[in-house]
Amino acid sequence: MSDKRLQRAIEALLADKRPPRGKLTAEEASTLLAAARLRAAHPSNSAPRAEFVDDLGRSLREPQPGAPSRRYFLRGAGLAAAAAVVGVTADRLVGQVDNSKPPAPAQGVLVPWGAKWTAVTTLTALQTTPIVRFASGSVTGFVMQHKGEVTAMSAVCTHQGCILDAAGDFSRLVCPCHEQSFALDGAPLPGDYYLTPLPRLKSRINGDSVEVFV
Amino acid sequence: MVPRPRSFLRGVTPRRSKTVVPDAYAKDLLQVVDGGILPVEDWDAVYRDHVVPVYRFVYVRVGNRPDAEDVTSSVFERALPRLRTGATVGQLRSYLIATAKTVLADHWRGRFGVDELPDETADRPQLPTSDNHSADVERILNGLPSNYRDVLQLRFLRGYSLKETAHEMGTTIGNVKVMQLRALRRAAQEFEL
Repeated sequence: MSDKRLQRAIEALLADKRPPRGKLTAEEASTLLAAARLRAAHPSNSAPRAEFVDDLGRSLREPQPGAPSRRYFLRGAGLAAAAAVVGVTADRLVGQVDNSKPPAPAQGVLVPWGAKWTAVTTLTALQTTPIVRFASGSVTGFVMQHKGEVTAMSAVCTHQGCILDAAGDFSRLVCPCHEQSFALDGAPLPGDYYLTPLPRLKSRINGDSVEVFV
Repeated sequence: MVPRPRSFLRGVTPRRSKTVVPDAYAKDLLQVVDGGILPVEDWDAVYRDHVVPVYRFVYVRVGNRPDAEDVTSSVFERALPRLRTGATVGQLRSYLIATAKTVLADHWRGRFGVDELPDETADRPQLPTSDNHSADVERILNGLPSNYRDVLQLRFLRGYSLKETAHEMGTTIGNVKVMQLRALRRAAQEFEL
């Protein structure tokens, strides 16, 4: 009986979801902690999402009481009850989620602190080379012309941080360190590892020059 | 063991949001860590330097992203006022770890009714790096019987589903579940949890 609940909690961790609420014995808690340690050793869990780091940094710097975030919710004691109910509902849903596939987290937009619009290449250059890599301060990224649109994204592999290269035929972004590559929309292509997509960067066209917000 | 009724109300019991880090404990930690004197003027820099290690410290103890993000947020929100007063790098780190432990204890108590978590950082108050964590895990896995090691490697490190794991190991899904649980219990002992 309790084995089943523990197993559900373990499967939740494997799907990168919150484990359901419920009393655990000390031994069960230790088993679940061991599962957490193993999950933490998976390469895709070695760092927080860029978007999370960015959002939290912003909210710490300038708390905005007007913008209710879930986190903000949890802070107020009076609202804790409501938040707990939300938590329970979410936990319940976990049981119905198909765990056989790894989660595909949404692709976030990376906006560095103190970012400003920076020209990195030109439209003319993109005509001849549709994918251009640039390095600007703390961000290394690609700008590319893909399906008639100019887009930009991080060039750092979400596995272990190697810098990606464009494939020779400009069909995908390839990691030089391991057998892993990404589609031009930043989604990881099937490979040895389950990776998070590449964060996107803000980009715009200013005359002939292509600018990114980094 | 008598199964406890699953109660909605459990989730609504007051969160112990007032828990503070006992100062004596923080002081103990401070003595073990040395760090250069660095007046903290720049909160952004403190945050940038510590958010990843703190997140990792938390992730190792919750094992999933949504909880890791919530707990990490709480740690910084709670620690923020103290951090702004100025401290050495070592003190900052210790204080963040101590705060993280308090928030994690609250989290486990609220979610699973567990009173005490094994405190394996008492004698080495450093934030872990992903390198030494992976090495620890590898060492533990290599010490397990081969079927235990295989099932944990396939499921946790390679992300195989139950079905894929059963296929790879030439057994049934039911067996994989049982073996996985036993393997985790054994790994918990090896981790000294």
